[in-house]
Amino acid sequence: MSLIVFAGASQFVALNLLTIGASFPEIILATAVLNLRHAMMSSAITRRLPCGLGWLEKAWIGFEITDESFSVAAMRKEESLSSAFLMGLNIVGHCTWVLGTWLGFLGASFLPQKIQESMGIAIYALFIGLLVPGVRKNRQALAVALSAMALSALFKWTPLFASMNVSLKIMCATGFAALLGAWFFPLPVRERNAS
Amino acid sequence: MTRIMLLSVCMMLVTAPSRILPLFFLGDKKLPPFVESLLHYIPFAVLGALIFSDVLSATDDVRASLCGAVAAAMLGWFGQGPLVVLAGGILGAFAASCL
Repeated sequence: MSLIVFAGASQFVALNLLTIGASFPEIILATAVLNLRHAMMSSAITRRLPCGLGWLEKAWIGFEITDESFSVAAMRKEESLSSAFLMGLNIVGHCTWVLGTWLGFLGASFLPQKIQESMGIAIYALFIGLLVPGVRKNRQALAVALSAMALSALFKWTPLFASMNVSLKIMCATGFAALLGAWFFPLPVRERNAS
Repeated sequence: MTRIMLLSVCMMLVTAPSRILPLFFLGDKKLPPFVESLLHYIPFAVLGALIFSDVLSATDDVRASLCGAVAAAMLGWFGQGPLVVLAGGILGAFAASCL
């Protein structure tokens, strides 16, 4: 599953649903909704790719988009991302993901309980490590990131949105925050560099 | 086992298109400035939404999570690379959970 689906959250959800005996269509639907946010990421990354990639390269880059690989790639300072860089990032990311799944399967309980619990923060620390340097000197981006946080907290803690799916909440928070950014701080119009 | 394999393949079929298709549709086209700005801000917005407020429930203890997050944010602010921030976040949460 790690090899071909390559979507952490969906894999956990599928596992959960399997153990409570949900039907296949239910699991597949949950997976589809959970992964819609990647469509937004993939749209954003597209603008940073060099022109004229072959269809196989495009398909591969798209297939490998995850929260993590997207974050690492999108926070790079370069305007245009080389496809070699993305390939490297994706292959390393995918291999470690599969390897990590195996380690977890074999029982990675060799770490003390306290440390295991503290590891839960690792993914967020990584996101923070990627986001903070990006917004430190960029007021507009900081405002967008903060409003996304506020919106996501709002969706989480307002009873009205309690029935909303987690991924949908993230999508909405992202979408609205990016809309605010585009509305209040439009980018200067510029020519996109060819190739 | 074959059931799981079948499920995995179906899951791939629904996850892959949503990631792949935008690359083909948006590809090298010129977009209106508003859409261009929108796409520019998406990475920051995604990270913001992914971090908060889920970071608070990242460990069993809200205070530990908060300490880890603050430690990570400060390290990032002062120009440390992602790996240092990562280690700092885990250590921060660990230290707070030991108190």
